[in-house]
Formats: sequence, structure tokens, C-alpha cells
Amino acid sequence: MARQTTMRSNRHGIKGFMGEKLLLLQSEHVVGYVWLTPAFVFLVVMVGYPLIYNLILSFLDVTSATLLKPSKQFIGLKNYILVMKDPIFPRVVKNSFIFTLGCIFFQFTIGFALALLFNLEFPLAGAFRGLLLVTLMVPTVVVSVIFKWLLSGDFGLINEFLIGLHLLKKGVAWLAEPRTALAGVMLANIWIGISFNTMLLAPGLAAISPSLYEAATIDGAGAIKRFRYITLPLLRPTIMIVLLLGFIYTFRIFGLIYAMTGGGPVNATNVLPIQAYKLSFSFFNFGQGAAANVMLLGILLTVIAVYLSFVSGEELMEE
Amino acid sequence: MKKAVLTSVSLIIVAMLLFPFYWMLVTSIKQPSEVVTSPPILITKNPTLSAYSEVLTKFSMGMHLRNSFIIAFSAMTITIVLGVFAGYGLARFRLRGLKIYLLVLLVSQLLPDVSLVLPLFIIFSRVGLLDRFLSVILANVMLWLPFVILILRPYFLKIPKTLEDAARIDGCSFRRAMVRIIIPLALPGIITAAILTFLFSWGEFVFALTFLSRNEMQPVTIAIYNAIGQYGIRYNRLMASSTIAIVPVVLIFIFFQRYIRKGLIVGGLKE
Repeated sequence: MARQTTMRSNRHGIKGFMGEKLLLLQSEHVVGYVWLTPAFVFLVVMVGYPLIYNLILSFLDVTSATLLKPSKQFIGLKNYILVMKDPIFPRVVKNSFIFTLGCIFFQFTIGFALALLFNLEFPLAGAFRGLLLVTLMVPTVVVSVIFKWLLSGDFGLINEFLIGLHLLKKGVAWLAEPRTALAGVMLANIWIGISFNTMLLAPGLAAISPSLYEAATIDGAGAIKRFRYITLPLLRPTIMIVLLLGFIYTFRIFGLIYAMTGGGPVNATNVLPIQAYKLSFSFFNFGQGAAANVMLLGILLTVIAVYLSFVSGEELMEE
Repeated sequence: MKKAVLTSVSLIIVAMLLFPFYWMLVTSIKQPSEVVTSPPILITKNPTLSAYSEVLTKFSMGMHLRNSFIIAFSAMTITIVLGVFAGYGLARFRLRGLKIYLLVLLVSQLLPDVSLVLPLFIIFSRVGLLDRFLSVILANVMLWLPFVILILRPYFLKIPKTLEDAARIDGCSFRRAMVRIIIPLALPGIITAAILTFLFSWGEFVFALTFLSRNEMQPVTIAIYNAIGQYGIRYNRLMASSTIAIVPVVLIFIFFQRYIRKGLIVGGLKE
């Protein structure tokens, strides 16, 4: 290598080579930051500044009447208190957690089962796994309308199916019925989430050496024991990451529910992101909307911090 | 024998999971009278494209598709340019605080989009960006840029620094080295990032919903959302609009599937 460089430098003259190298060394640090500047300036303006601005708004009296006035009154924590004192607020928080934990339970279990299935060697396993990804690429509003149609009270396919099996006598308007609406939107989200979980668990499963399973089989371990004592412990870090990401992405859900039910009927599917959005854009209580945003961010940043502690620094640097 | 069983079981499961798409498609080509029947008609005997011509003519689906394309294509271009610069910078140079930069990207990728709608709405209304494509384009760039930088960086890391240095010593200008060596070697990553940014921006909902109030500016996602109320029970029209909206998605998916899978797994995803 050294010899090659010498030969090359001879071709272009020693001076040029030395100068070039010196320039590279000197400017390296400065030049590095120059490359980052456009993207990070953009993010500061479009993410950093709005987040701070939102925090400020949450302490001000901002309604449609005061929105465009230059000075808004500082009202301390009043917005937060009003958001939490709203009689529907406990319902919203409860919905958020039922939705998130319920979805994660089903999508993780089913997704894990599918990842195990597709990890076996058989023709088309990879193709099937790949096909599932299409559900993640489709606009969520399309998923919303398809499931709205499937769950429709009049001639919806799910009703027709359940009536055909004699499980129902009469169609249920799943999304219009306060008792069933949350389950309805969860069904649509679980459908998307299954692919998400399968996709993320599959590489972890594939990375487990088959020789471990072979050795265990020779030692007389059945399928359940192999899963319990090999797959689960080795997959643990991946599982933690998938569950935490699942929580973050599910808890912040907006579009899917908003397009299916708008948070209704009677707040049956109202979750924290929807409530925050509606406070601002349906009720024009921008200050309260900002306060609800801060609460949502607080919950998510806590979970994100836990998630980051699992994604070790090393992993982050190397990837 | 065992393998054949596994393949058939998987085929049934995948068919069940993808069934909602079939139902969308078959509803969209039914005669209106066949849509609302009990028992439901699973396979239509006299398909028609009338729902498609209705949404294309009466509900100007073509215009909404064009809007979606303008938004997604512009967002993709800006994101990739910014992302290539930053991804290269983060991979090539020994920067102080590298870990902090990466952490910032990881966190911003996970932030809830809804929380940024309100402050951006007020900021954009001040600078007169509302009801312009640029507002939604910038929001999409903001949403996907951290993700794109994070998936591009590993591709730049894989290019040996010596290769670039050798080219420069050979008298290659820096711009030439970038265009002739670095970009081509990182191309699989750039394609992945571009496809995902395009598809995610194509499906974006909340920013378009809030920033674009005029019908002639709205992308397909919002047109479909508005149609839920308008069409009432006309599910064949709604399903035709949905089918039209996912045609580009399916085409891109068919041609670039391997890039998509890799990008989603490496970049850590989106739901």
C-alpha cells in the first residue's frame, strides 16, 4: 500500500501529494460539520423550535380569539389542569393504554408465531414473509376505510361471516357501538402490527445457530423445551426492543383511528393523540392542545429513554 | 411432505392476512347492487369499472394523485439530498459528539407526529405557508430525514476511506470522487431510502389534513378521508379510490421489495 502511494505521488509530484494530505488532515473536523449542517439546521428549525414553541404555548392562554394577537397571557399550569379536569380525560388515558397494550399483546404473539413459522425451511417461506410487508407500506387511511367496510353494520363482511357461523343473530355496527368500537380499531391496528413484529423478529431468529437446536435435539429436548431454553433467552434483547418500539409506535397512533371513528362514538376510541389534536383543531383551545401534546411527549420520551438504554451505544455507532 | 404442509399452511395464513386487499379490489369492481347483499358476493360475475370512472371524473381522483405525487416526490428529493450529506458526514469524519448526533436522530425519529402539528401549523400560518404544497413537503422531510440519515450512514461506513483517498491522490476532484465513487457504492442504500421516503410521504395523513384545506391541493389520503363522509354507504367508490391510491405502492413494492425489507429492518422501522 505504501509503495503504491509513493508511485502515485511520483506521478503527480511530491508537493501536490503532501499538500493534499495536509489539507485533508487539517480540514477533516471542520469539513465534517459542514456536511452535517444542512440536515441539522433543518431539524432544529422543524423539530427543535416547534417543540419549544409548543411548550411555551402550553403555559399561555391561546384560543382562536387570541391566536393571532402578539402577546398572550401567561396562565401557568391552567391549561394542564383544564385538560386533566375534563371529565373525558380519564377515559382517554384508559383507552390509550387499553389500545396500546391490547394491540401489542395480539400483534406480538401472532407476529412471533409467524416469524417462527417462516423461519422454518420450506419452499416460498421468504416470499410469504416479504408479501406481508406490503401491509406496512399502504397508506393508513386506506387500511382505515377497508376495515371500516369490513366492520360495517350493514352488509359488513365480518358480520356476515359471524352470522353465517351462527355466532351472531343480527349484525353489529362495530364502529358505531360504544362498547365495540375500541375493539374494532384495535383489530385494524393489530392487522398492521403483525407484519411489523414478524419483520423485526425474523432476523433475530435467523441469527440463532441451527447447531444449538441440533445439539439440544440430540440431548433429547423437545420443541417446547428448545423454544423455552434456546430461542427465548437468545432472542430476549430483540424481543425487548420490538416491544418497546411497538409501544412507542402504537401509543402515538392518530391517523388510523381518526379516519375510522374520529375518536367516537362518544369518545369510545378517543386516545391521547386524538384528544390533543381535537383540543386544538376541533375546539380551538390551542393552549390546552399544546398542554396535551406535552403530556403525550412526556409519556413517549420516558419510554424512548428506556428503549435507548436497550440499544447500546456500541450498536448505535457500528450499525 | 412436511415441507409441503408448511407451505400450504403458510399460504392459507398469508391469504387470510392479505384478504382485506382482495375484498377492497372485488368491492371496487362490483355493480352497486352487488355491494350490499346478504350473503355477500365473494366473486363478482359481472365486474364493472364504473366506480373507477366515477371517482376519476366526479371526484377528480386524477388531480389528487397528482398532488400526492408532487408532495411525495419533492419530499423524497429534499430528504435524500440532505440525508446523503449528513449520512456521509456522520460516517466519514471523526466528529466530536458523534453519539449525541445519532441519539438526536434516533429520538426525533420516534417522536409523535401529532405533537408537531400544532406548533408547525401556527408557525406556517405566520409565514404564509398554509395551503401550499411546501408546508406538507417540509413536514414530510422533517418526519423522514432522521430515519434516512440513520439508514444511509451504514452504507457510507462500508466504503473504505482508502478508496476515496486513492481517487483524490490520483487527481480526482472531490466532487468527482463523490459522484463517481461514493454515490455509486452507496446507491443501494440511497435507493432504499428514496423508496421508503416516497411511500411514507405518499401515505402521510395528519399534516396534509391540517395544512391543506383547499380541495384542489389535497393528496389522495385526504381525498379518501373526505370521501368517507361524502359517499356514505357507496363502498364501491370508496374501495375504488383506495385501490387507485395503492397502485403506485404495489408497483414500487413489486419492483423494489428487497430494498424495502432491508431498509425497514436496518433503519428500525415505522408502523
